[in-house]
Amino acid sequence: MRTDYLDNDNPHLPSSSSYRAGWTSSSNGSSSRQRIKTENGNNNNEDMYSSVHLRGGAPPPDYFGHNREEITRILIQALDDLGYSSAAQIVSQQSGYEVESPDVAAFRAAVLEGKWDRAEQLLWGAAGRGLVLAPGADRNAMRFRLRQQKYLELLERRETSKALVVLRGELTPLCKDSPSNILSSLSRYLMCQDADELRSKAGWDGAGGLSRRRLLSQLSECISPSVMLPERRLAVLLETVKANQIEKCLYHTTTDPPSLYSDHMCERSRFPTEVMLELDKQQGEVWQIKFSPSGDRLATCGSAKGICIWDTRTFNLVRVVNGHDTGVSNIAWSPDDSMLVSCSMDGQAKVWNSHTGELVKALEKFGEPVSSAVWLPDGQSFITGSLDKHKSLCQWDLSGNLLYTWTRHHRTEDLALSPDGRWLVAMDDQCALHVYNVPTREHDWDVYLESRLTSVSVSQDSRWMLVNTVDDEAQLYEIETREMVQKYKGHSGGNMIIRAGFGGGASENFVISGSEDGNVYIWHKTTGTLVHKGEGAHSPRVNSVSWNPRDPGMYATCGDEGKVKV
Amino acid sequence: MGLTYNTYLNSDKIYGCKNCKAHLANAHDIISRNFRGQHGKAYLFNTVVNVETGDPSERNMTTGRHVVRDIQCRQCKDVVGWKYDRAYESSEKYKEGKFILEAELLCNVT
Repeated sequence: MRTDYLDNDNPHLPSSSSYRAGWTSSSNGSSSRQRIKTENGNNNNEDMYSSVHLRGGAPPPDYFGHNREEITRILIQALDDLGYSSAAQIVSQQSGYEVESPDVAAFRAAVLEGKWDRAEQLLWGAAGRGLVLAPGADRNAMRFRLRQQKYLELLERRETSKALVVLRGELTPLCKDSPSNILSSLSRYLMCQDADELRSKAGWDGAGGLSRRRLLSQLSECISPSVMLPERRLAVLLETVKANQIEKCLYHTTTDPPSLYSDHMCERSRFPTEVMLELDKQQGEVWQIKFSPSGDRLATCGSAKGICIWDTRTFNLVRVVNGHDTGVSNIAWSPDDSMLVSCSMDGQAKVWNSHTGELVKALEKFGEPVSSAVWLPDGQSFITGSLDKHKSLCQWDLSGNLLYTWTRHHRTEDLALSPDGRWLVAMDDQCALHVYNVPTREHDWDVYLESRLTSVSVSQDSRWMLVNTVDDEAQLYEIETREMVQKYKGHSGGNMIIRAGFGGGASENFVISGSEDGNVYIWHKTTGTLVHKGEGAHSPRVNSVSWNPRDPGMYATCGDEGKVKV
Repeated sequence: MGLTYNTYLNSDKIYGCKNCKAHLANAHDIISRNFRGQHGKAYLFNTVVNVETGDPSERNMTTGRHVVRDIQCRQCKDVVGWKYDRAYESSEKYKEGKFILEAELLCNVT
């Protein structure tokens, strides 16, 4: 019997209509909501729940705790949106509920057809009984929008005298209290020579375009939702549920959206926790590890002078790039994978061709170590960060010309650029982060922390910024609001540079970090819970971690003993 | 031993390691210039940066017996001075925990 009930909200109505038929016979011919409610009320007095299981008995007034009227109307709207309009009509007839009352339907038709006077009449209602408005709706604003559309359409049809009448008689009185900028711009449209000019000046796509629908959407927001359902209500509700489930899912590593058939919960077994492979060709300590943006190669660098590039399919060492005299502290892949910038402790930054290993360009030597580099999304220039005070944050092009010096006010120990190219985050050696706006090249804001920072990175969706500190803590900031939203604890910091980053598939639900105690830590990004602690990954410490941007199930870590684990 | 960057000081006059120019101390932080080391003049500081301390040893100095540790630049490992651990005479107690940098082993860094 329960399965029958579940069929009710299935769009394939024929299977449920047999059940429904039993019910309609008891309330035949009644179409108004009032009468049905009382009949339900009568049945209420009897055993409410047992009647569910009787064919031909009346269903209980609420649908497992939800208001029957709300559910039915939302379903009818969803059926209509899906295109099953005759099915929607059948449901509407059988249940006696309608998505909108006849008044609202007439209002909708009037707006879409351009019958403005009728629309206004319906909105306010003869004898003051019009459509119920949402709380806080501004009647004047609604009137204004309707009349504005009327005015623009009249102008489009070149009926300027009528338009003028509308402007004087209907729009002007509404704007008595508010500034008259709108009025003056509207009256300027009178000067337009033809409809096209009007359309381009007003940013309006004409009566034939989507403007009437947009007006309807705007107005429907002001009308009480119980009278006129917000558009696509069911879809909106389901979106919220999906987003909620994804957020709660601790081990979420898939990129497919969750199915609605069952609650979404990723298995722990699909979460990468096992060491698949150990690579030990890199000599010395390994300080930085980075997957290429396409995910097909991996680069490592460290205290030894060579940079190793590995292929991620076979994990063979494909290239060793030699050319620095001292340790290489950081590397950066260009967005198209073709080039690599290496930053070394002896103050040199070099650009290499990542496929052949040839040196493309060596920048002039800096006075102090170069700490980091980031590429701009177009791959034509890159920005280096250095501890040299005079060249602390500089932008260069591919021929090694200095394009721009961003600042001389602080030394830079780490850099991160948001993938959408808007924000540049520079971490200095005095416990502060500086955020620059890339298109305008202005210094936007700073974050001052109490302890020294070791690394900074920005997520793929350009919304979040992660900073790792020496005080056993990593903090997550939302770039737009400039607020700290989450803290991650458990790993240990010390005097060394320990790096952290984002990871876990397209939605990047995880924050992963190395640690002074030799373990790898992975937290769930939104909730901050520790999801996985990879014990004894490296000794004595895990310097850096990197998640494969194309494979949510793979990440790599590197440590001081010269090994890279995947 | 992991990746670390030097500490940098903010001042118009900074003393650095003669060999590698790593920042060591702020010239304005000198407590006393009245010291002499093996290489001549030496200065007493409260704090120095980018140094590593060695093992303690007892030495007889012009002012008496002290327990000192040699300090060396963390980058190039050159000895640049020493740190007072303990002073046996009460008039010398003020030196405990402070650092001496020998002028001969320093250079000016801008």
